[in-house]
Amino acid sequence: MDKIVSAKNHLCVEEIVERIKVETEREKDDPFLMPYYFDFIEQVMRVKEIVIVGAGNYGRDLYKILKQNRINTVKCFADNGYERYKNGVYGNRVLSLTDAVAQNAGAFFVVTAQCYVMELIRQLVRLGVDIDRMDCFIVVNTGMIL
Amino acid sequence: MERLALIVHRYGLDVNGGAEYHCRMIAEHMAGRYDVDVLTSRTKGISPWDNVYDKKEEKEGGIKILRFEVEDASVFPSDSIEQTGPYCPSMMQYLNKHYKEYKAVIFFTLNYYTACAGLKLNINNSIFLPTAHDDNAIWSEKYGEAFSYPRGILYNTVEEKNLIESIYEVGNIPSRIGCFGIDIKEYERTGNSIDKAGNYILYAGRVSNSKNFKELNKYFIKYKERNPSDLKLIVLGEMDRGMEIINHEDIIFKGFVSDEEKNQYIRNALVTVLASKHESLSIIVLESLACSVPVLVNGWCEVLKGQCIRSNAGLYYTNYREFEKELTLLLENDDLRSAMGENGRNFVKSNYSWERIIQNIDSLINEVCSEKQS
Repeated sequence: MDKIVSAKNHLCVEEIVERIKVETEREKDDPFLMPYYFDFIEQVMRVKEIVIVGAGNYGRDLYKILKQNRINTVKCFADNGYERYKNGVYGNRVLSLTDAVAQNAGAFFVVTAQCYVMELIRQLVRLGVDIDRMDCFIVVNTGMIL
Repeated sequence: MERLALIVHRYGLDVNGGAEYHCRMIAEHMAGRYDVDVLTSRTKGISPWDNVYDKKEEKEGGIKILRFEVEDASVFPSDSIEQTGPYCPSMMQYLNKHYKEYKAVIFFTLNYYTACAGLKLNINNSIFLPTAHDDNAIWSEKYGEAFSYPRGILYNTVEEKNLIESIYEVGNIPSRIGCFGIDIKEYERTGNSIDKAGNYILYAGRVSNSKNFKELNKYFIKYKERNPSDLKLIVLGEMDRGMEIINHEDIIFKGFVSDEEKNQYIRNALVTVLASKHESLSIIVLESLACSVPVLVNGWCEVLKGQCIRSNAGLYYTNYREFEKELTLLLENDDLRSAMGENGRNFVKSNYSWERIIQNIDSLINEVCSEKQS
């Protein structure tokens, strides 16, 4: 940090923030975030492609959480109300669950709806998604202050 | 002189809110070029809407304020814009009858009845100033319909413009970025009538869940536990009714203060903090930078992050660990704060002069007018 302070003319907040981000990424001990959060991030870091099931608030929040954790493997959103999102969400397509499954055969599906979770899981299973290729993201379990 | 109408849900010197203040500033700065009418409700509070202001018409520094009664909207569905309020059907009747008398009608803030219902009148001189951010409202069909009608759009930041254009097909509607200015001289005044408050970081704005104050409340208390010192958090602004906070001896609530006092608190702060995830601009960030005080903001908000990067005058965090390290860095490095302070002031001078902003708004008004004529 001495370098940043003395190089007044070359102050760059992006570099400062990035340096701090790298330092804190090594720490798993956060006074607010629960182990569930870190376990979830570790799990999705290992997959090659992610489909976020739900393009509403929780789905969009998950997308941002993944980006913050440098996870850029989201292929698309899937939503039963996909017609509402004809322009996509944050540059990603929003497909029906049927199309999302058909077009992303090997992806990992993360259900983000906080209600109707079982209905969505059943829908995915009926569409042929293996139970080991899906999970739920339950925001209230993360410890994030909402 | 040509006439200009500004439509906003609340208006008044003692009304605490960013969009409301934004409207008032535009009204005051446009008053020299236009006869400005502000059409607003009689309400001062938000929840519930009250009809506190008695006068239907008043003059304030060359601005005519027309106030319309907030009526009962209980007959409408609970998820309607009428129920969101403030439901002022008499304002819509007035506007429908008189809109042609104005060169332009500028509607403020997406998620209120006054803007949504007003834009649906589909008048040919409407300009929308949505003050939108990445929250439920911008993705909601109920409010999003409003984007089908304006003839011009004023955005606060490039992030706001990009967000709206990614969701709605508004790319071909004439628009400008930059519709709020800072009078830098206002932040140069000396004089110190506030009590000496020691070392403190500052929060200024509504104390509400929508501003994520809960997070700042918890983060600051945790910070003090882990980093004992004489540091305080001074909080300016009205608290929302029913807001639950955790009290702490080093968190000092001053309530709503005058602009002069607020500026003094900013000038004497080490850092201004903002935990809000949803902003379209953040006036307090600009005010802090104008006072050469760096900011520490929530990096989940693309607008706040963008302002920090553009100005090189603030840091942004996404979790407690980053908050802690960044705050410590700022508090322990006078040189860093000074450099960021200088950057911030230069940024505001170069980008947010009212002269430049008025020209921006005027050029859009003229473009909308010429489109109307053709």
